[in-house]
Amino acid sequence: MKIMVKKEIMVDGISYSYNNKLAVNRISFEVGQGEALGFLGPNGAGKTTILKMLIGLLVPQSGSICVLGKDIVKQREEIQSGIGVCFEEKNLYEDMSAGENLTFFASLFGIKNLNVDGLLERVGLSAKRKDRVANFSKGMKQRLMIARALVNKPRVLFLDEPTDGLDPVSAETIRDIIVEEKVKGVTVFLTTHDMMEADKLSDRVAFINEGKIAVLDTPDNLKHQFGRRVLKVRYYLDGEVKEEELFLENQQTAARVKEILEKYRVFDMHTEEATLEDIFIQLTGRKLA
Amino acid sequence: MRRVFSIAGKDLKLIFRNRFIAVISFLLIVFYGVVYHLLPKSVDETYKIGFYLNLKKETVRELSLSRIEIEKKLNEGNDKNKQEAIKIYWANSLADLKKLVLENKVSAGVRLELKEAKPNVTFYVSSRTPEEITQAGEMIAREIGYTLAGYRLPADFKATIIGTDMVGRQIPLRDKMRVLLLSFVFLFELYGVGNLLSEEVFKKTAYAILVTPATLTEFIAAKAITGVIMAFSEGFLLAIILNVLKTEIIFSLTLFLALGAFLIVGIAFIMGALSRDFITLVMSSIIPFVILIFPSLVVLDPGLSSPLLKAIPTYYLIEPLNGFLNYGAKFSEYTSSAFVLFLFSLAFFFFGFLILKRRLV
Repeated sequence: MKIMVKKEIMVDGISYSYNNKLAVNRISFEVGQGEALGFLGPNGAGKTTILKMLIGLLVPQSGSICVLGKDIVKQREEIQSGIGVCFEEKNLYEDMSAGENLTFFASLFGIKNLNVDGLLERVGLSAKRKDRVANFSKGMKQRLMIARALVNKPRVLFLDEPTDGLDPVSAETIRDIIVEEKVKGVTVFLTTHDMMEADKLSDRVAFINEGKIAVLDTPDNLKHQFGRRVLKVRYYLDGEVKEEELFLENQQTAARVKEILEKYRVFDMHTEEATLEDIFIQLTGRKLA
Repeated sequence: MRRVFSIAGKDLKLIFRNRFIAVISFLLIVFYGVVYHLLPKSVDETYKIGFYLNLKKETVRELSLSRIEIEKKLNEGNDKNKQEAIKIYWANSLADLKKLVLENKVSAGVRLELKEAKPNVTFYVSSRTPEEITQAGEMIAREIGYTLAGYRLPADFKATIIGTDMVGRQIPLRDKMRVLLLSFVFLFELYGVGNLLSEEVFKKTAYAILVTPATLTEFIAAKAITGVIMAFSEGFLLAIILNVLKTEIIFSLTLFLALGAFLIVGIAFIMGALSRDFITLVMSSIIPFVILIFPSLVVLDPGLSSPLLKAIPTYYLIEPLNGFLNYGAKFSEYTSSAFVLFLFSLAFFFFGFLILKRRLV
């Protein structure tokens, strides 16, 4: 029996041009409830334009967008009541405290009794409630941005490069929160150019290039479809470490491995999968960063 | 409305946390008040008068008085109080006399003609000459006639105003400055409100608001409320410090202060939407600032008056304020100004809204 997953984001043939330059070219995709979709692409690929249309900051010039079952153009306010957005830019009110920032945004959602301490604790900022945001580090600001995106307990989270340039602790805190929200059934739309992050957090990834989706699938399927699985063996030969790559699908690989093990002292040996970055380059001919 | 007040409340909080804006907004008002109270309450009463005597040589000889003697006689008794002295300038021609008046070197010019038996005295004053100066000048002219002739002349006195007639009274500089100071308070609020907007746009905090259920209209309405509250309360506070809130003009003054605040916020919307940050806001506001302050400079020096003034939106604020504060004008005299001011404000709001919308979405 096929389980019907509720679609929280439905995009159908949307396009957008800036001064006659096509930034987004007839894109369509769907994201199910509790699913995390990683939107991957280099700068200028059209990720931010798509995100802006999804969150109601831009109106698509063609096509349609439904978020939470509602049309983004006709029911923007209703949709925005149920979504949380974390921008790439640290657009917080820096002259206000962390607590004041959260309380202010909660008031825009009509929330009067926000558990500010609980929210700040989730992002590791409970001791900073009364501190001015201007004095926060980049990582602290980003964690506060995540907390702000959660004030209204959103059903869909839009995250634009949420861990870009962060210290490992902050990045891990944010990843943990994303996973926690996913477990709760929150849909996550993640734009990033960090393939590792997309691989870790996304159920499916979409590669976007020049305003079009080049491919959309699960990371495993993409690796299986486009990647090459190799065994990397390093062994000593005449006092030096020699490296050899053996394709797992190759019929001679087993024999060659046996030969190396018998004849040489092995330094190390491990399998290596293609990364999403490799696949992206293979598909688009462009690097991500 | 709840969201509008939330945003406006946040804006007011941020304004008071920005030390620079807080200084501009409120400490300057105190400074203006101090400046006003330090300025002299009275005016220099030295009466500078120009003369052109168109008399037959034999008449002068007959009168056997030199110019120096006339001057000496006129100043007799004035030595004790130099402020009330009379200083005489002599013109060699009627054209020179008019030039003296127009260049404000003398308060009035007197042309004395004695071609027939009955002398003609023509009195020239400029448009900026207050009425009491004109009256005083006429008296002085009669006195001179008496001095020259030795008896009260059966002369015809005729007053001629050179330039636009701006009948008024002599007002101390500091009273004229009240209008300028109020204008300054309003115009500095251009930077306060403009900065509030440009920061929201440049730091992209506006986007954070616009992805909540708050709409662009609510966002702009909140800025308008904040701006009008700030500009109006500052203007009103300065009016209290300047002690101009008299019962007879409190309604008119309050209404025009509110309309002025509305106008300034409309202009600030355009400036703020076009600026990247405070520096670009200041740079791009210099020319508009000079243009907008110009009508209040005309209050200080009416000679700067020009028909083009009516094209400046602040003219419709400054003129009524000047009327209420310095000439005891009634609201009914400025109803059309209130209407024009309101229309200007609406126009600026509309264009500011369009520019902001274009920048944000």
